[in-house]
Amino acid sequence: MGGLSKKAYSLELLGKQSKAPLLLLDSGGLLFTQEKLQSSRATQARITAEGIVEAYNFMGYKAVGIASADLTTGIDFLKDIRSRSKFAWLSANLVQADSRKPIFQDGIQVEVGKLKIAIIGLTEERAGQFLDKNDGAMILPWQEVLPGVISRFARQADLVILLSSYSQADNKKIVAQVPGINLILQAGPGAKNLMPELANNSLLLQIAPRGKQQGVLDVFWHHSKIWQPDQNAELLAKEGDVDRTRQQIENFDRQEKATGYLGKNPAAQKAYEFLKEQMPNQEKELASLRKTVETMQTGPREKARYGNRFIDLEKSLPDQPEVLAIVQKTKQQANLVVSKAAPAGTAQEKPSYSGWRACATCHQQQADKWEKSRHADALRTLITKGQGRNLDCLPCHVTSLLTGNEPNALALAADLQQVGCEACHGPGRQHVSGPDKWHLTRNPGEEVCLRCHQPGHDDSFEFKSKLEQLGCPSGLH
Amino acid sequence: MKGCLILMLIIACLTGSAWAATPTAAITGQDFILCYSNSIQGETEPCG
Repeated sequence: MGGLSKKAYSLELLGKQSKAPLLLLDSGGLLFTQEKLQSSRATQARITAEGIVEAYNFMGYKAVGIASADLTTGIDFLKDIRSRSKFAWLSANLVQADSRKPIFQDGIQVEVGKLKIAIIGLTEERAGQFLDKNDGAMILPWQEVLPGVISRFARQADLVILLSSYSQADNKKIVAQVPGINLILQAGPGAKNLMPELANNSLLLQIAPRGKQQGVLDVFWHHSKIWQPDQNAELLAKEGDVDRTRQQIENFDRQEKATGYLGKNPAAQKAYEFLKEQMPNQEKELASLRKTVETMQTGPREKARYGNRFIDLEKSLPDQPEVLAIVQKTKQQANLVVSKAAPAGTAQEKPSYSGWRACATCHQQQADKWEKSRHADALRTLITKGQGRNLDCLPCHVTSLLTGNEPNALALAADLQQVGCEACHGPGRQHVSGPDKWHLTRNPGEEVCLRCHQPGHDDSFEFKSKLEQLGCPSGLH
Repeated sequence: MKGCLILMLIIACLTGSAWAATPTAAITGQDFILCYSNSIQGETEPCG
């Protein structure tokens, strides 16, 4: 799931289908997979970052917050990225250490339809540890800068949005102390999709990372600048309650008809009577809530309203052609730079591995089963997707130590260019030389799988069923 | 004509998930639509 070309398609479709203008924002952490990167990987990562910016330019993003994963290769590169960006890079508290002035813009004001919207960026203080001393930059605590910045922008704007890479708990502290923030988009690689939460009349929004879904908030603004709690969500919950009660009553009725169950069970009879008594009240509450929601939607607006959706960017969605071309060009350039850096066959392979054919000499039955598995095709899968030299992807598609020294993976022996036996059971060269003396892990645990099958890469991974599917048959041959 | 209809039905079934995943325009009257994302983390598309 995911991918920029799917995202671009989805946004384009949304724009065509809706009369209301779109405002595209990213809360931050756009450019890099990691906050620290080996220098050998920086060139490829920068090429990918430039490609992402080109795609965001095409999609029409207005602003991106600066989070720690945007600072990975230094302030100068981010300044270079800014010069390529048609959108603003925002942080109110990433400042020059000497003057304490923001290095990038603290905020911008844009006109969206009839509204003037201020967008302000805030970088979590943790990002300070990833700054290079030579950059002469620092992250100020939000308490020092935010009240002034918000107050300055809020005077002019109808609505103020904060792009924050602070945690949700910190963002709640922020809205408790700084008035005037109407909406916060939270950033963070560990974030999950959250239903919007109202805190001190600020709406906190959060979507999971890596672009697997697109967050969409329909905003029905009101000059009072006060949000109406989302009664649609309340309505859905109430409908669920009524359905459950009805289902339970039907179950009791069915059992009673079939076996005379209630007559024999006084406790069940009591529960049944309780549910029957509750049902009319619940139905009455539901009808009243439906009427309220209907009036809110059709009647005069007294407060600001919103509706939130998460759109799945499914694999089966079409690709937006221009963005797909940008992605393909970026991947080609990134592959090329790694090919030059580590031509196949030149890197030293890890001496501790033997390769799957050596295992098959004694464990043929297990090797036969493995050869039919997707693990045996793991690198081919990457190559088919044009990601065969993507250093972020490679470690999980070959048999090698996951140490981050990934250019070696490009020149591994042919028998290691899969997720082979030793990827799970550990390096086997010693075992091959003396099987009675040196033993490998016979039953690798879930933690071994989770090195690669992490949420975000494999959301549906379930150890027990995968083990049944992939586990080696017992016995030697 | 009949063949075309059957073919369209087959395609509709095969691509059902994509259609269901596409955004709908059922909601009207918004002042604006905020489209938001977080931590793309240097990924142009998934590994494979």
